[in-house]
Amino acid sequence: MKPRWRKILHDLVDNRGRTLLVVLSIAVGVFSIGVIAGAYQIISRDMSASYSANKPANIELRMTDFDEDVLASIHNQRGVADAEGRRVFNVRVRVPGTEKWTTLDMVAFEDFETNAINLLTPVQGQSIPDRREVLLEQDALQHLDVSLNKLLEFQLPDGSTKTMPVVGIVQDTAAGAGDFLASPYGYISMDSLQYLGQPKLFNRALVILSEDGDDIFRIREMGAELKDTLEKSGNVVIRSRFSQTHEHPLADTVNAILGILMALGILIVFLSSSLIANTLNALLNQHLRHIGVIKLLGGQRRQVFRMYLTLIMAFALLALLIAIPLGGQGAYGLALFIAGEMNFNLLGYRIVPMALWIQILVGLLVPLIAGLVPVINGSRITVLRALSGNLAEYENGQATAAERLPWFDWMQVKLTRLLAARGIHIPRPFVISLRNTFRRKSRLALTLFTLTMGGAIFIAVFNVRVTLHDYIGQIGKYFVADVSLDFDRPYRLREVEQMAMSVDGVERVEGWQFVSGDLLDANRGVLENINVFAPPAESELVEPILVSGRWIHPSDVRKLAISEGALEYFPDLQPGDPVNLKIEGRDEVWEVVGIFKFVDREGVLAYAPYEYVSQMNNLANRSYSFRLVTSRHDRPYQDAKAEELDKYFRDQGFSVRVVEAGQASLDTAVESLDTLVVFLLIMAILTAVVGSMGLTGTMGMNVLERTREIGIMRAIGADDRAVMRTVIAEGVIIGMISFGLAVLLSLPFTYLLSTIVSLAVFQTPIDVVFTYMGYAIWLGLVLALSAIASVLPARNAARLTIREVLAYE
Amino acid sequence: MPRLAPNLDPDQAAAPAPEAMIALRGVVKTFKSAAGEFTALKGIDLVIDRGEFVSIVGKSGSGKSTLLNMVTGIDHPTQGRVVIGGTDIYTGITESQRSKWRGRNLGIVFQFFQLLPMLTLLENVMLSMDFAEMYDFDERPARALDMLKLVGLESFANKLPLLVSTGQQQLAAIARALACDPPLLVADEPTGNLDSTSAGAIIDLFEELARRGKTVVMVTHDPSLTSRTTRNIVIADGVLIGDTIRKHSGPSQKGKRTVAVPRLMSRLVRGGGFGRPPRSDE
Repeated sequence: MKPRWRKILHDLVDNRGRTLLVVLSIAVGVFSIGVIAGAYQIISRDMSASYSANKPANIELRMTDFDEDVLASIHNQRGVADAEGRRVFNVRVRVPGTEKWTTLDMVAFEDFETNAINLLTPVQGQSIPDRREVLLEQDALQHLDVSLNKLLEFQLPDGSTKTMPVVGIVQDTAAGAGDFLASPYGYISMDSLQYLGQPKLFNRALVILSEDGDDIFRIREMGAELKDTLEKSGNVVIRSRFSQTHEHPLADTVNAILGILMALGILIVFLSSSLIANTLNALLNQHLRHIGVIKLLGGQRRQVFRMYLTLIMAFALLALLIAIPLGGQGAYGLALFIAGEMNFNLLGYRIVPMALWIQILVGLLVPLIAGLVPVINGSRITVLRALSGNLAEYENGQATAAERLPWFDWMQVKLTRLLAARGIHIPRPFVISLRNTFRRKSRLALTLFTLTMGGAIFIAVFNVRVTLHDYIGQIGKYFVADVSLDFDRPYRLREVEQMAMSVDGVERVEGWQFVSGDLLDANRGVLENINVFAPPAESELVEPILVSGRWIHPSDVRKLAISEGALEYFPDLQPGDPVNLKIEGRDEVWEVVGIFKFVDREGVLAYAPYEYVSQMNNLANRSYSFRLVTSRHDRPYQDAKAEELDKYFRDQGFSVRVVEAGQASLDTAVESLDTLVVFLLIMAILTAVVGSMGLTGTMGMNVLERTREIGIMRAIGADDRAVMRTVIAEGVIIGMISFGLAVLLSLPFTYLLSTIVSLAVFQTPIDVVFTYMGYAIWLGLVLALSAIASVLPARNAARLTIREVLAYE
Repeated sequence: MPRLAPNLDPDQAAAPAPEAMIALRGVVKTFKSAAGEFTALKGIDLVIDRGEFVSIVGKSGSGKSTLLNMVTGIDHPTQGRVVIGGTDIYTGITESQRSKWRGRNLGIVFQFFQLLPMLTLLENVMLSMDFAEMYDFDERPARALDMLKLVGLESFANKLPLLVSTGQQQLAAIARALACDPPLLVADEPTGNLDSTSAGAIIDLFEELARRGKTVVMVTHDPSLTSRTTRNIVIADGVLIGDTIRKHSGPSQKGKRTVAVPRLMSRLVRGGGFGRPPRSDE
């Protein structure tokens, strides 16, 4: 091996700490980008593949009860490849001997063996239940502490209970797809319906089209035709859902989220590149004398350039050795986590070639680009300058009359003098820390960049979390009371109110109504489902966020406030405009009085006054559904009151369908969003790790370059603590500056992240909410990180004996 | 090989005479490297009294800086003991504690001044008081300014080292060394990097300090400076080979040579203890 390459090998091996820092700096960026790129590829392929493998229905019609004949007529419709009927109803279940009831959506299959739509994947036990046996969707196990072959207790509408054993756990990739708020599912055969007090009839039709299964417009068109046909023959279609065969309903959301993560991954690469640039700059500065000697012995610029370029490539290759396998594992781990959350399967562990190439490209190019400037500068340096061994601003500087103080240093000295003139003397060791902070301005800038970005993202993620929670809370104010009380038949408002108010803690009762229909275009074609809630117009439970117009009035007739989801179909929609609706088979024209903000996943939401809708439904002064306000609004209290009201009304002979605490459904939504926030937080922590690595590197380099000064300090009386304090204070000052900058930068970051996430999840931008939490945690974290990042260099500094220091010079 | 103090048992060595500022006993320093061992100091015995102005001379590599490092606590002896102002600075004392002790008891002046470049001259002088925790916090600026006045730099107090001449930097370094009022001032080639005018001023200052009772020990290879000190020690190959004491007739006769008597001789004749032996001023 030629001596020059041996030198490079020594450079690599001798200073292991520095090599480790550079290699880790590169590896963090490569790892992040590998994880995101790999997960992106795996998820975008497997999510839809897994979804389509289970033969998802293109059209799901939620109807009133229907029989085999109606199902056959759907099947015979032109363009329909297959149709199956299900009966879906919700029921309360619990493990016998326990108190907690959980609401399950029970799905009754006509024939599990010939089932060809929305297939179930066996997970454990049987995949076909016999009569009076139940299968559970695997997600249900998170809500119910039950295991295979154990009994579940079912509560029937009349209050009586029945038990059935859980004979199998299955996965239903179609269950809850597209609905964050879906209840867990259970599956039985039609033969078990009577046992649970249900008629042996269908109420849901699942349809697969013979062609155009990925053409959403064709699917909608077919859905409208089917609905039309069914309604003409006297059936009632309450709601319809449309899905493409090869696209998971949440694909857009997941891809948008992965897009954000990808952006953060790229940012981490940028941050790590600044870290690399910093370290390589310092390395070249330390090697100036070597370069001087090489040149003195006849080494040419390009030879020096090649040597250090080889060193950078060696760093890069070492980083790739670490980052590629970890990145592959991380990508699959992340994909597995998302698949678990979204309830789909992966096609197995694999290395994603594209992610691999991206990692190699990033791992080689980024250090090369980051190191190019220092290497070019280093190789260009003259022998004289190289042998003098310093590129620093004024360190070691011998004064000349012509030399002038940089303005920033001049300012610092002036400031200290001004303070001193007013009797304020800053301790000199702290002055050293303060002024040292600003000595290597380009290094400081790069360190601050990484640390600030990490901090800003960290803070922004907390703000985004609160923003999302706040929005869920706002959404809750559209239809969530402390307790929702639903019956299987309508009851008089006054009767329910009197009874409910007799329960301690109930303060107010409202009867609500509900009507669903279709939103039509100008040609009477079906655009989307529309669900019209009808609370009392003066209800205090609904706190809408109006975008334009007004809220509903008691005297409104065929007037509604509509969610801004309608703007997707009518971009110019204004209050006062008419909209065509099809309600219970009738085409009607309603007037829009206001437009409000709301998440639209299950169609367009609208509000009309109870006063009008109850008359329209021939249910004046009566209702199926009641909303109750209690004296306290916390989840445990709501749960307790729901339980009490449930028992009370059942004991009084009411046909109770379900009683639910308002906070319960919100908590489910919040949990789903928190999963997303966790991803963002992981990325934020990664950026913070890169930032603190940058700070550690900077402090290490600073200490190394100031070894002589540390020696002087020791010579004039600085003990270990004094030396360590000076170094740590410098780290903490950098941390504090970065905190200040992060606070500023977190504002645009919060708005940007909130907007992107809310557009991905809710299809609408939402109002940003700020929380002190992120700021406080980051402040603590950055102080701790900067102190920790400085401790090792500080200890090294304190360990130096003065002789070593002078020898260093 | 001449030695400056006779071999004595350790008990005697541990009790130097109270007037001794520096007492080295059997100091050996061996450096180990991949190339092998190298002994820079070969059993040095040396006593320097309070108020002496001593120059240590020798060729490059003779061990003079290593000897100075032993006195200042900058390096560790491989063997032997070093007692400064009554304190054994290498026994039962950590590096960190030694730094603190040094700040309070010793002023060091380096060849390259070693002022901290980010601090003004005033702040550099105050820094040693901060580290040594000497004087009240509010008293330190005024004292630092007094030190700078002593060396004639009060008008440069708020300048950074970069903006003053090398001579002024060295004067500031002396002011810093004096800030905690240490009884001992140690200088390593203090004029090696200065022009003759600046060098003269520095030596004048050292003489003045010695007259005020400070002990000044200076390493130099400039023969013209040795004539200004009251005692001249010569070191070669890690061994003290000469020790000359000069008697100055007074401040007006500054720089005039007096008759020097090899100190070695007097000590051998008298066989004094490890503490300061009676001085021969013939």
